[in-house]
This record gives sequence, structure tokens and C-alpha cells, in this order.
Amino acid sequence: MHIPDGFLPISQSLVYWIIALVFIALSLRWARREMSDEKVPLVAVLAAGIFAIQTMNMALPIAIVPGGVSGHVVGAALAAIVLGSPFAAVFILTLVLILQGIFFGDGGITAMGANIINMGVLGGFFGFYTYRSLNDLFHNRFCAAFVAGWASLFIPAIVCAVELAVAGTFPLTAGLISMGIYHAIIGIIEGGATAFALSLIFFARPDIVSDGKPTGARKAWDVVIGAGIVIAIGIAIFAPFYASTNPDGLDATFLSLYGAKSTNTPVLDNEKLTAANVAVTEKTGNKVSWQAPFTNYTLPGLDKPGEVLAIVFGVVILFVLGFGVSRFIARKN
Amino acid sequence: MIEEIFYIEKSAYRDSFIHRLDARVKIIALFSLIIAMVAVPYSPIVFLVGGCFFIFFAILWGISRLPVVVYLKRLLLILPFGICIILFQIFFVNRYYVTFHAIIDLPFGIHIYAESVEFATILLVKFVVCISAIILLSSTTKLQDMLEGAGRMGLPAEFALTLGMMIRYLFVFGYIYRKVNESLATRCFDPFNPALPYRYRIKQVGYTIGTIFIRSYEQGERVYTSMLCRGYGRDSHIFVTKKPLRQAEWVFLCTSLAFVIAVPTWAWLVR
Repeated sequence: MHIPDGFLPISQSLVYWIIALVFIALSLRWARREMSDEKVPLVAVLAAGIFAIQTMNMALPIAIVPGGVSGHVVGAALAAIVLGSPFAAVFILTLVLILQGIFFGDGGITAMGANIINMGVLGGFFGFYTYRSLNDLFHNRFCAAFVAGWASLFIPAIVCAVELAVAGTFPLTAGLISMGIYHAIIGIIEGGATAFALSLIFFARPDIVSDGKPTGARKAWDVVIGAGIVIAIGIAIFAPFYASTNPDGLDATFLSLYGAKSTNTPVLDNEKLTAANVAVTEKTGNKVSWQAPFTNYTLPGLDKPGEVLAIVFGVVILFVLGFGVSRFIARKN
Repeated sequence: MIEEIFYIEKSAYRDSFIHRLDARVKIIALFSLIIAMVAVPYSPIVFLVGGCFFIFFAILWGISRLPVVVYLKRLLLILPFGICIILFQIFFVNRYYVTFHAIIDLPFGIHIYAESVEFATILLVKFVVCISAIILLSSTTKLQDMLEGAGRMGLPAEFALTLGMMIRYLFVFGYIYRKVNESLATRCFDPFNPALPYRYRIKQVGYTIGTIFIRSYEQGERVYTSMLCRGYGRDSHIFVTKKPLRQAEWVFLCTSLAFVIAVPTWAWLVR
């Protein structure tokens, strides 16, 4: 899943780097506050351990291609669960990815921002919150860790496919299918290994596992955040099926001004619409046009599922940006 | 991958003009080469720029007196993910071309397009040039030197310390990883053995991962305690001495930067 250099245009790489830097800064703040600053060396040594863990290869549970194909654990979910914060995963995975990119050439330098977002931020956050919410609901640590591990690999893979599609270097449908299937299978290794590793750590060194039980106020906020995410994703899934296909107020006014659509019927006159666009271009002299990556909330080649994905992707980006920026600018009490 | 670290460090401990260059010079020169290569738009100009950059890399590799086999071995290890994306490219249309001409028609409505093959080659050139720069950087610069170089260029002190600690213990975990694998092998356990039930295999791998996690955590605790004993505190950081660049290093840096800027500009003008 390590995106190499050259697969993302420089402008998009820059955007991913900026988002990643916000999270790196937040993870540094977490390290200072939660790990009481001096304990940073402990996390550094742990990062070296995670690097070693990533080298443990094993066969896939289902052989897609006979022989040769293997998978390994990323460890974002495990680190986040044991250390009790998704920022632990961001911190550790950033260190690991820097070293992999600069020293081993696994994952690019310009694409490192995207890789940190995928494996560190998304892997850590989805892994941690999936584990915590499932464990709270069903009180089954093993299953919660399995699903968390699986999600921490599958979701970044899907986002990676979307990033490559936005970059124009791999078609969306093929990317989603191939990356999705492949990582859904490798996810079994990630999930299984996370669950077994966690049960061993709980047995051997229960003291190092952060119980992750938030205080009352934090818990209330978690419920608000969790419910917000669920509502947003729910709307994203159902919106394309219930949304009106008619133009909005501004569009409708524009169309009726040029006679392309009467105010009380949904019928659109395409010829007049084209003429209206030409007339506006002539009148304003503005010939600049920009093709948005998800025009009209759609993904090329995918019908309704594409619309759902586009909105889910938008929700995730907004959540990441909103959460990141608010955490960054929030004042300490 | 972690075992590779010994092999890479071995190359980095050799001696040549490139090896002796200050890490800052190599980092700036090769990172700017990568950024320039990535910044070239997806168009046939990439071939010209990539070709020139690769010749530049080959000359530097020659001066470093490292065997070509070292480069090829490392390249082979890195290729898989990128190559997968590149190979499948030839079957798809992309947004960088307007028209597509099928050169081979395959069953199930699959076509290989001339333009897609060109695009795949563009990606391959970008990929290989960037990877080659990284291989050159890591094969000629020791990890510790790279860290010091980054520290001198303004990498935040706390980040440098953390990264430094990680690098130091990476070698320790390289050995631990080797030992763990040897002990698994002595017990005749092979995670790729289809004769063993999958659940059993994943359980063993999971426990091994858990063990490595605990060992690294405990190692971290010991390191932290021993550092405290030696006066480590909130404001501790790696002390990096100032080191002015030599004249030859300035010449190399300026020449490389001029080359990295001049080649794409020239290719743009003659396109």
C-alpha cells in the first residue's frame, strides 16, 4: 500500500503532506502530554519493534494467485490499542514510514504525506475507534481487535485506491475492486495477528495496555463524535437515493433567466442550456473552467455506489480536516 | 525488510567521493532530483528528463564504486507494488490522453491501448528514477550521518532524538527478528506451510508479533530508565556540531541543483 514517487502529481502530494503534517504535530503534542515527554525514547524503541513486526510475512488465507503472494501486518491498530490513543499509531507509523521511504525506498518521499495519512492516521483512527466501540458494545476484546485490525488495513487501502484515481494514475473501479479484495484478504492476517498479539500482551503484560477508559466528560464527547460520524456516513449512504435531481435555487434562477427551464416544471432544455453557458462566457469574458474530481458528487463509471463513495470520501476528508484543524488551534485549558 | 538494513549499511560504510560527501549535500541534491522528476507533468517530456536524470544517477553510482548488483538487488526488492500498478495501466484509459488507439484486442472486451502503454512507460520512468535516487542516497550515506545531516538542516531536535533512538534499535531488532525466525524454524514452524491449519499459523504469527511488541516495549523501558540515570530529561537533545561544507561539496551541490533545474527547463523548451 506504500504509494511510490511519481504516482501522485506534485500538487496533490503537497496537499497530503500538509494534512499529514497537521497530524504529525498533533501526535507530537500527544507524545509530550500523554507520554510525559521523557518517555518519548520508549515510543522510539517501540517504533523499531513495529518495524520488525512489519517484516513478519505469512501466506494469505485465500490464494488469489498460486504461490508467491504473502501479506504482513502494518501494526497501526495494535499500537493505537495498546498505547490507548490513535495518535500513538500516527507517531509510530510516521517514524516507520520516514525510515522506509528514505532508507529502503518503500513508499516515496513526495508521496509520504499520503502514506502517513493512509496507514498512520486512517489506520490508527479507524483501528482504535473500531476496537473501542465494538469492545464497549459486545465486551469481546478478541473480536473487537480482529475487526479493528481488519478495518485498519481495508479502509486505508480503499482510500489509497481513491487517491490514485484522483491522481489519474489508476482507474477508480478497477482500483477499488483490486485493492479492496486484496486488502480485505490481507486484512484477515492483520486482524488475526492483532487479536492474538493483543491477547498475549493482555496475558503477559496487562500493565502496559492502556485501559482506554475515558473520563465522564471525554466519554460524552466520544458519544457525540461517534454519533456524528455514524449520522454523517448514514446520510452519505442514503443521500444519493433520496436527493432531488432538480437544480438548486441559484441554478434554477439562472436556467429560467435564459429560458432553459420554466420555474414550475422540471424539464430542462439542453440546447438552451448550452446557449446560456455560451452567452454567459461571452458576457463575462471568463473562460476559465475547472473539472472537479467528483463532478456532481459522482465517480466516473460507477452509478449510485459511486455517488455514495464520493460523499463518504468527502465526509472523511472534512472530518479529518475539521478534527485536525480544531485540535491544532484548540487552546489548552 | 529489516534484515536488509545490515546489507545497506555495509554498502554505506564503503569509501568513495560520494560516500565522503556531507549528508546534507546528498539529501538536498537527491531530494530535489526526486521532486523535479515528480513535478514533470505526465507527458513524453518525462522520457527526456528521466533519461538525463538516470544518466546523472549512473555517473554518481559509478563514482561511488558500488557494484551494479547491489543496485539491481535493491531495485528488485522495491519494485513489486509500483510495477503492479504500472503493468495494469496498459489495459485502462486515463485522463491524460484524449483519444485511445487499441493495439491489441483481447477477449472479454479488454484492449491494450498505445497511449496507455506510453503512460505506463512514463510512470515506470518516474518510478525507477526516484527509486534509484533513494537507493543511491541510502547506499552511500550511513543512517547516523543522514540523521546528523537532517539535524543540521533544521529537523526539530526532539524528532531527531526520537528518530536517532529508533535507528539505533533498528539494528537490535534486526537481530531479534533473525533470532525469532531461527527459533521458529528450529521448531519446524513455517507460516507458509499449507499442511498446518490457517488458524494455528495465524495464532503463532500473532503471538510472535505480540512477543516482539512486548520485547520492544520492555527494551524501551530499560533504555528510558538507563537514560534517566545518565541525566536525560525534558530538554535533552542530540548535540550536533556545526560543520561547514567543503569547497568540493559546494561545487557538487551547486552543479547538481543547476542540473536538476536546467534539464526539465531545457526539455520543456525543446518539446
